[in-house]
Amino acid sequence: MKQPNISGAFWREIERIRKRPRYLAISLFLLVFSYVFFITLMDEGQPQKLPIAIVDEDGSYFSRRLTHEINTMQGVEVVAVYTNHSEARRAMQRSEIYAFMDIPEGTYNEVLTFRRPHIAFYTNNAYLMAGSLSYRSLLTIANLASGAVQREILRKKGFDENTIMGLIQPIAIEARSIGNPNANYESYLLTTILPGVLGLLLLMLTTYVIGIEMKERTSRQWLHSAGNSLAAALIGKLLPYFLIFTLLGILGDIILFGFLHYPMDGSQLIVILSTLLYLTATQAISVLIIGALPSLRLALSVSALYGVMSFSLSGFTYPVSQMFTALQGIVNLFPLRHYYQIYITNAMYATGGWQLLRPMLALSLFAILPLFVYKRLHKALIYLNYPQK
Amino acid sequence: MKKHSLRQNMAEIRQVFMKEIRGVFNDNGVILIFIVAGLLYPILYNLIYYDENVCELPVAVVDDARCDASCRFIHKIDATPEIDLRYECANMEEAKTLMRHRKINGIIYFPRDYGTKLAKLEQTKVMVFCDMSSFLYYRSILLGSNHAMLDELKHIELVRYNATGIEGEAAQQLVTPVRYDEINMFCPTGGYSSFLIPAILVMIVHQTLLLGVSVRYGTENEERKKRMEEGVFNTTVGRALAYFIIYAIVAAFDLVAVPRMFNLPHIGNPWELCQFIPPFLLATIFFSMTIGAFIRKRETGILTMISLSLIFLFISGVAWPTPNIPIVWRYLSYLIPSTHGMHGYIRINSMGASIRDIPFEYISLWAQAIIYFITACLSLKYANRRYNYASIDKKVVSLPNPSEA
Repeated sequence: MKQPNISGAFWREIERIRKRPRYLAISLFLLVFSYVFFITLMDEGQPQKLPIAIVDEDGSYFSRRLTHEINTMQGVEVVAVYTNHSEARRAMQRSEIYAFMDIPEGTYNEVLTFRRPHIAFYTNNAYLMAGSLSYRSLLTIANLASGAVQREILRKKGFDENTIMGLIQPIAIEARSIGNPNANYESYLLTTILPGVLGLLLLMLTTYVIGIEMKERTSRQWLHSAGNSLAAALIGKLLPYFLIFTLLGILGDIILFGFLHYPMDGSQLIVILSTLLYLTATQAISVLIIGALPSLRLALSVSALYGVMSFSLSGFTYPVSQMFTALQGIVNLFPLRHYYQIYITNAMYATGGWQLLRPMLALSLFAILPLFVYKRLHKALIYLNYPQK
Repeated sequence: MKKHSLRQNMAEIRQVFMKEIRGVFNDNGVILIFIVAGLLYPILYNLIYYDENVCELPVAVVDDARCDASCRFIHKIDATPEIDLRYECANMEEAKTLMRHRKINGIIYFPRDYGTKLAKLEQTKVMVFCDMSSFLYYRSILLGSNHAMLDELKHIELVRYNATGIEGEAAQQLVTPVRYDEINMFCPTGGYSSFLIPAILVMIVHQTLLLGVSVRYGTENEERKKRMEEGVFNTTVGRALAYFIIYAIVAAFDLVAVPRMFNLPHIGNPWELCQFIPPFLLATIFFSMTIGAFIRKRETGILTMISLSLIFLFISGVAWPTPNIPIVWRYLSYLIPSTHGMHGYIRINSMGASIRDIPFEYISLWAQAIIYFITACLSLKYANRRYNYASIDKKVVSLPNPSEA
């Protein structure tokens, strides 16, 4: 009986990577590309100067003034002034603009004669983000317009400036966004998307490196190198990838929180720890998949289909509480979900306790998954009794 | 190259077509991607993005002012569809603890001098703290509290004008000298699923097709033993026809039936969709076939293409507005069929546009279909020459004897 030999499997894997670096190289390239892509894409943090239009049927001092005021807002930019409604609507359908404000004929006249005119603004919600951002700007302008008229009238009635301000804007809301003071969309998305890509690539790569041993019928050689212990063989084989991805994951954390200064109120140590746990859990799932379906073809397809789901199911864009009830438990089967919860608790609220411990515990629990398929995988590796074609 | 008669060519295309259909249905991995993912994912995504709107979010209120005015405001906030004032806390500490335990998504705080400042006719502030773990929380809480604030504002103004002796219609005229209507076009509820799922549906068709075809080509390149007997042109046409027929069904289900099943926006004319879907499918098929020929092994395809899904989604300008995408990425996105597919589909399906309203997308897709058809032929020719190596690559690996082990 030979001793379990982790280092045997480890060095064998290093040798395999050296001989055929293609898959690792592709994964690393995609990872770097994703980081560069997403970081350069959302440079602005929040989209600015969204194109909108004005339908100016009034053509008055008032409508020109309003157009001018809209242009001073950071979020939107008036790219066109139309003279009728249907032109603007067509521009919206062509997606040249995300919103427009309609100032009907005679508006200024009605203002002057106290007939309380109607203006309208239209936003395109088929593009939700652009639509709701321009909505916010136009809502502010619409209210400011009333305020400006009020001020003029009150001045003429002989009120002093202080009284006027108290009269026309008695309450203001001061919004504080906890854990993301500038409401930066980039830091909100990327702190979960990029670790998600890291996990997805590791998931695929791990499934591949185990499966390929069966496909190329080298699995006995592999077991042999680890002293015929599957546990040692798995640890030795997966360790190089774990180390590389952990290193890159931590480098990614340094880029996000160090160089790009994404909000981080908690402990850096927990960020690193959660990255470690997250990657372990990801590899454990790969082993589970390839163990349950010891055929590289099928296992890779399943890994891919499982992997892409994790982005939506982690609940970082769309809250889990709003999902279909039966799905709300299933989200726990995705490591990214727990990683995201650790991030929220640690980086945004800087708290510990059960809120932090629970997802960490959950991630650790993933590590026992390979035990469920241990025997099945072992047999498959020895007898190669599953079709590889 | 041998000259064939039209009839012989047709026969060859039919042969390739039948072979490809058989090939797809004999490969579990491809079936899983084409059929299972292609048909089940749309349903799954509808279950994920299940509720249209994030509403009745649990929020705590800390009322240090304890006056009539703050009470009235609190009731108004509670009455908005977005916010449910579930907790009333004695102080900020208590509310923060609730927030840390993720029991609430926001805190609304009335400072002690809220009432007195109002009485002194000074401007007074209300603080709203938002949970930023999801932007949908932030959006809903701000929307709800802002609408309540605007209503309260008008109430206070009215009372004040009354006090200065301006009453009735005159006061109304002062409070809102300019009235406004807000109209949410194309998606009146402003819901998240109505916005995102149409884009995801196009993405599912695009990505499953791309993955499946790359897997088919990767497998072929890996197992190729000799040159193909059929001509490159006929092979490209025959295979594309096979994918097109399978995907006509998948796309009809995903892009036409699913929005109707799940009550997503579907104001588009089905006839317009029928004109739009074929060029999208053809562009995607030939795009996939062009890439496929460069994939040496079955596994490479799936590994590469799956992680590109998110990039394709974000580069398209649906999630992040097109004008704000850096120019390099924007031009790059024009090369990918899913970009035009998503924009065209959203405009027809969700915004009721006709083909004439989307000339850029429609023409781009046809142009892609033609160009990628040519490149698909060329790259198949390349693959046919390049991967003729099966005989030398067949290394026999000696296995240790199990009895030794």
